[in-house]
Amino acid sequence: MTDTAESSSGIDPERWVERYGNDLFRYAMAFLREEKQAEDAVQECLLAALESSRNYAGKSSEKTWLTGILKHKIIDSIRRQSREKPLDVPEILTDSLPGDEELFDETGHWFASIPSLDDPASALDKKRFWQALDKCITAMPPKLAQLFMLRELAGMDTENICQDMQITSTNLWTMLYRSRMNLRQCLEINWSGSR
Amino acid sequence: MLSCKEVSQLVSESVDRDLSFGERVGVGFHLWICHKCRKFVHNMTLIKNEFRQLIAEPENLCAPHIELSAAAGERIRQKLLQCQCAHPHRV
Repeated sequence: MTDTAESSSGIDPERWVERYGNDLFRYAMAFLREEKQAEDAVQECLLAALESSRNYAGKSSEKTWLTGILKHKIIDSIRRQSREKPLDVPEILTDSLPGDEELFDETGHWFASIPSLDDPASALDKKRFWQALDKCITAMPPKLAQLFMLRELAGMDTENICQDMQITSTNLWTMLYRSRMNLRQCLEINWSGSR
Repeated sequence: MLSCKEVSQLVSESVDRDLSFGERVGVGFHLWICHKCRKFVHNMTLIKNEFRQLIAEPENLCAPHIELSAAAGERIRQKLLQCQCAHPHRV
């Protein structure tokens, strides 16, 4: 039963859960927000890692390698969800987000002044900025937050996102625009305001 | 000339697609004369860069109260063991 892994390649699957379980789970939770899904993603990640452990060249740390695999599993999970529950585009676009009319006047110019967000310079500032960022993402409408996170995780691969979510590129760009505007406004309150 | 609203949309879209030459020129000219939009671009760029750093490493997401439950941890450990036993020479 307790076959010890021959760690010729320097990896030790026996202890993955103990060593990285919490970190990987926390990471998955940041994107998926639901325990069951995050647990499944961690499991799929570790099983996939075991399967492909021959490919682990030891160039990055074991944890960085596992996190890279986890990212793909998180993307898979979000895609699966969105296939099951397709996005209601009109609903999301009008859903509790500030409309353009609150930001721009009828000629399309900014109503209010725009506070400049200060670069978080120190490590402590960075941590506080990230906390504010996390808070603001959590406060976004969930579907929009998920789309925003998926876009960042999946990189430029927006074509696949559109296919999975059954939306047009134009809709995707509009929703990402909304999510970024939402995030910016929230941060201008939560970051600049906390100085 | 592009309005601030149009510029804000194009700046966001420039992250997701390549803007046309005309769009780039229009945005560039607008930014040259509009300090509000310059601040807007600064803020959007900052948020994008910080977010990318935030998700680069799990340590950056500090939420110590979130932990993998003991039951789920054990379940995953068992799965790994089964998988390893099924392919004893894999590792």
